Amino acid sequence: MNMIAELGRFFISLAGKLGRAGLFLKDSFYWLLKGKWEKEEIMKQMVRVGVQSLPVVTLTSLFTGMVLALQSGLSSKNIFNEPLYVGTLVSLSMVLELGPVLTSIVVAGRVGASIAAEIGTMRVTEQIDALYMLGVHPISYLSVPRFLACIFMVPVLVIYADSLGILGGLFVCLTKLGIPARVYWDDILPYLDMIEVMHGVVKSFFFGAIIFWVSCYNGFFTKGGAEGVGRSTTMTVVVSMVLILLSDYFLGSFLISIGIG
Amino acid sequence: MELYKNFGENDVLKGLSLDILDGETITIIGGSGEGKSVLLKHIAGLMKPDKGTVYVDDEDIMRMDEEKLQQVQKKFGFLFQGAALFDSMTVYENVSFGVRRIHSETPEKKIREIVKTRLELVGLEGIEDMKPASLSGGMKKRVALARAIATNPRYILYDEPTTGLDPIRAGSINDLINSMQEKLNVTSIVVTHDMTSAYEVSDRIAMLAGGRIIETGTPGQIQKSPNDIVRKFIRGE
Repeated sequence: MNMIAELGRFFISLAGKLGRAGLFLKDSFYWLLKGKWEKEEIMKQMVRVGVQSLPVVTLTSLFTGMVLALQSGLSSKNIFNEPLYVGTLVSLSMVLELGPVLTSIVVAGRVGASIAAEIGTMRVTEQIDALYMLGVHPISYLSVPRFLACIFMVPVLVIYADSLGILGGLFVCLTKLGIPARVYWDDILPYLDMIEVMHGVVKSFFFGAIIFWVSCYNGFFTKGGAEGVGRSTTMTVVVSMVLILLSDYFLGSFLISIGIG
Repeated sequence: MELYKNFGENDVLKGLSLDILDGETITIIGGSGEGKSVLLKHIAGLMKPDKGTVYVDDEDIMRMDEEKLQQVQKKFGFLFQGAALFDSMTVYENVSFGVRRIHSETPEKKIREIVKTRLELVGLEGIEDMKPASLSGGMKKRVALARAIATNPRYILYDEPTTGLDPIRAGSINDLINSMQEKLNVTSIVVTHDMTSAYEVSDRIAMLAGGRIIETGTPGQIQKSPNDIVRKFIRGE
C-alpha cells in the first residue's frame, strides 16, 4: 500500500513539475515576443554561451575527430590492408552526430550548470523579487537573453566543432595513417552535402533550447538556500544530458523522414 | 484583505486584515516565523494568497494581469531583509537599475545625479564603483535602501531593516526611515521584531500573531496594551 502511495506522490509531483516547466516556457515565449529585449544582457549571454565555451569545445571536437580517424583508419587497415574512407567516416560522424551531441553536452555541463546556479542563487537571495520591484519582469531580463544565446550560439559552436573535428581527422591522417590530404578531402566532399550539415545544425538548435529550458527552469524554481542551488545545478546537468541524448534519436529520425540528413 | 496563505501544512496567514493609510509609517511586529515578510510580499504582489486579496490605491492587485501588476509594483520601493543587491553589478549599476527601467527617459547625467544624491542620503558617498561582495552587511542594507528610493516610490517596504546591525548602524537606519518620511512624504511599511526601531519610526504599530493582526495602535497605545500576547512580546518575556 505504501509503495502505491509513494508511486502516486511521485507522479503527482512529476505532473506538477512538468506543468510548471510548460508554463515557464510559455511565459518565456510571451516575453520574447513582447520585444522589450535587454540588448546588453543578450550580448553578455552570447559571449558567455559562445565565446567562453570555445576552449572546451575546441579540445573536445579536435580530439574526437582525431580519435575517430585513428580508430577507423587502423580498423580498416586491419580488415582491408589499407585505411579506406577515413574522411567520409570522420566528417559524417562529426557533422551528423558527434558535433551536435558532444558540443551540446559540453555546453550543458559548462553553461547550463552556471545558469542554474546563478539564477538559483538570485532566487534564494531575493534578487529575483528585487527585479520585480525595480520595474523588470525576471523572465524578460533573465530568461529571454539566455534563450536567444543558447539557440543561436549552440548551432554556431556546432559548426565550429564540426570543422575542427574534420581538421583533427586530417591531422591524424597526415601524421599517423599516411593518407594524403587530397585523398582525405576526396573521401569527404562527394558524400557531405549541405543537407547533412543542416541535419546537425537543426538538432543543435533544439539542444540549445533544451539547455536553456532545463537550466532556467531549475534556477527559477530553486528552493532551500545553498543546498537547493546545488540540487538545481546537478539536476540541470543530468536532465539536460538525458534529454539531449533521448531527443537526438527522435529528432534524428524525424529529420531523416522529412528528407533532412 | 482577509488573507489566507499556507506553505504545505503550515498555515501562515489565517484571515489577516489590515488597512494602511496614505503617508503613514506603520510597523508590523511579531515573532519569527509569524509571517511578517510573507505579508509584506503579498502587499507588493510578490506572493499570491490562497484566499483573500490586496488593494493598492483601491485596485485589487490579485486580479491584475502581469503587466498591470508591474505598473503597480513600480510605485513601490522594497528593502529586502538580505539587501538583495545584484552581485554581478557595481553599486552604481545597482542604484541606477530601477531608474533606467522605471523612468527610462532619464538622461545619463540625471541618473548620475540621482545615484549620487541617494547614496549621500544613506551616508555612502564615493562607493559607486565597488561590488556588493566588498561591502559590509550594514553598507549593503544602506545601498539597498538607496536603490529602493532611487525611483521615487510612493510606498516603501522595509523587511527587517535593522536586523544584524550594531545599535549605532541600526539607529542610523531608523533615522533614515524617518528622514525618508519627512523628505519624500512616502507611505512606509516596516516589518521588524526590533521594538526600539518600531517605537522610533512608527506612526502606528500592528501586532501579527497566529496569522492575524491582533492589535493596532500608536506606539504609546501599544506600550499600554492590555493584550497579554502584545505585552509579552514588547517586553521580551
